[in-house]
Amino acid sequence: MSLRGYILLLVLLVSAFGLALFAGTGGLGPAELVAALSGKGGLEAQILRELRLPRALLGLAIGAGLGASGAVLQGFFRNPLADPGVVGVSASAGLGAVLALYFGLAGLSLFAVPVAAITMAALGVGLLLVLAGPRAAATTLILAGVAVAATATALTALIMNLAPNPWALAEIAYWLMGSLNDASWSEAGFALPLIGAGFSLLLLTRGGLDALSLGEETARSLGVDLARLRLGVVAGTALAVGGGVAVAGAIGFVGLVVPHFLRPFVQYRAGALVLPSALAGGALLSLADTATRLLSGPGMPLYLGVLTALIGAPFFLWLVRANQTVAP
Amino acid sequence: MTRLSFDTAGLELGGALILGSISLQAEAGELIALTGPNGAGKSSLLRLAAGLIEPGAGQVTLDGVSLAGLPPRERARQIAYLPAESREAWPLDVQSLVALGRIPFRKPLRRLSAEDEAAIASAMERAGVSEFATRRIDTLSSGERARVHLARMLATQAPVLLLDEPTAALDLKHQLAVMEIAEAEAQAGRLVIMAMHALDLAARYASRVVLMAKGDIHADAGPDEALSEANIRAVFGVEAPGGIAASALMPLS
Repeated sequence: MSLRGYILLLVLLVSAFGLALFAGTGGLGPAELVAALSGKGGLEAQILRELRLPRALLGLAIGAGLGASGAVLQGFFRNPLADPGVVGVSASAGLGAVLALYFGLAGLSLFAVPVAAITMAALGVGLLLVLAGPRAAATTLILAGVAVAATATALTALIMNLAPNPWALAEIAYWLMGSLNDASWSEAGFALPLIGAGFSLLLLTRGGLDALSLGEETARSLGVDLARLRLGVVAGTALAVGGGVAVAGAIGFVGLVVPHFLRPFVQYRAGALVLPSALAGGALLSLADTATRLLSGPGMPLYLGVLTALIGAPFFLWLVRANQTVAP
Repeated sequence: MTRLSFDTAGLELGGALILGSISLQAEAGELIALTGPNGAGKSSLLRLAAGLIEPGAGQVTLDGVSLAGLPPRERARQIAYLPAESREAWPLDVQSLVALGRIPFRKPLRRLSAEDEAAIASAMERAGVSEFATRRIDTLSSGERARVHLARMLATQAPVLLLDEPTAALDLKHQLAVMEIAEAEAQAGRLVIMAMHALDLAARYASRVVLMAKGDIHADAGPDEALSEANIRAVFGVEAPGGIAASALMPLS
């Protein structure tokens, strides 16, 4: 991507971050932010410091993790339809988190939900790789992803089925819709390092993804260690997606829409797509979260996962249709 | 002096014998045509030579070092490999595709070095694809695409070049172009091993022909001797009166 492209993405990211901090009731501005950061100020500064800032950071990080994961999965499978949601990673991570919620592990340790989400996300990617095989064609991949997602969703439904009371059921249901309403520094404290670690692993796969665009055999002849690359993809996706799902629930389509939209701007290079996808994913999710925050009224909370799916699903439909003619 | 050796290398896949016991020495400056009927083991031999698969018995060495013991990146710098079918997952532009040949030299988070840029430009020049540098690969004809993939391979600047049927599915002119490029690389001191079915081109360009049959080397000699009437009859089951004659076709210069 050209320097101008990066500057544009950075401007978008900073604007999205600014909106996430300052848009909404309270009339907050940069002056309050300075006060908040220096630990002074009254209620306004406290709103910024304790509510908006962690929420804005989490929105950026979760979106960046989803965007980068989508770009890496698409590059690895050499398929523009791959994304953490479509291939079942998000659903697996959601299952892990719901398990932790159901068995009350969430109350025991702050790390129970993220650890469960990440473990299940890794299991989901692993299962997908076994089912689809590393040379997965479009159909095989989507079928295997559907199988993984269906299994995870069915098990999640089973747990909701077994929920002891309506309140527990509602907690799980609302959680699954995806939201950053309860985001605080304690969530940010565990999610940001996890997503950051996953993101670093994903960045390291870029050379391998480039080589893979000529097929597995050529990639190996170029000295790429495919076993290590696969491990990086699995661990990186699991951390980046699992860490996000643990906080915000399953948020679909960001990982699908963003890389697909940006691909022509990086001249279709698989490796070069990862960083721009992360930047744009962060900006997009941050904007979507600000929109849900502003649109939600008292008694009518709008959920982030609902909004991204409402935007993402029609795009997915269009992608599937357009892909009939341009499939690799 | 680059030297690739097969030392009684054998290969079995799923219980089927693919290669018997191959012994072969190849040195820098040679252009070796690897030929034989379908299923004779040409591709398997090339994949062994590229270190993509390991022999079940014996070993393959480069300058005395077993390929199995060479780190993948180091091996990739020494041996460039062009598979029979190169399919691009994404519609890359020609320049970016040729740049993939530099992956064995790339460091993470770094841009292309001046050395990389020079290697890419030179490879595109030699393969005759400089004029398409900014075109997208899916807008090129199959002959042009074949040369782009050849350039990708040349960009590595490896002393050993392994090509699996690079002339298949190409028209006469592009076949000659690919052979001229291979010949130039061999003359520049590289070892070129090429699997091919165009025997008249092998007779014309190769310095040595390795004729394979049923997983073994049937003949390994100069083109006239290896492609004799008797050998062609024994290996292909086809009459070639007087042996295979070198192609008289010439590229227009």
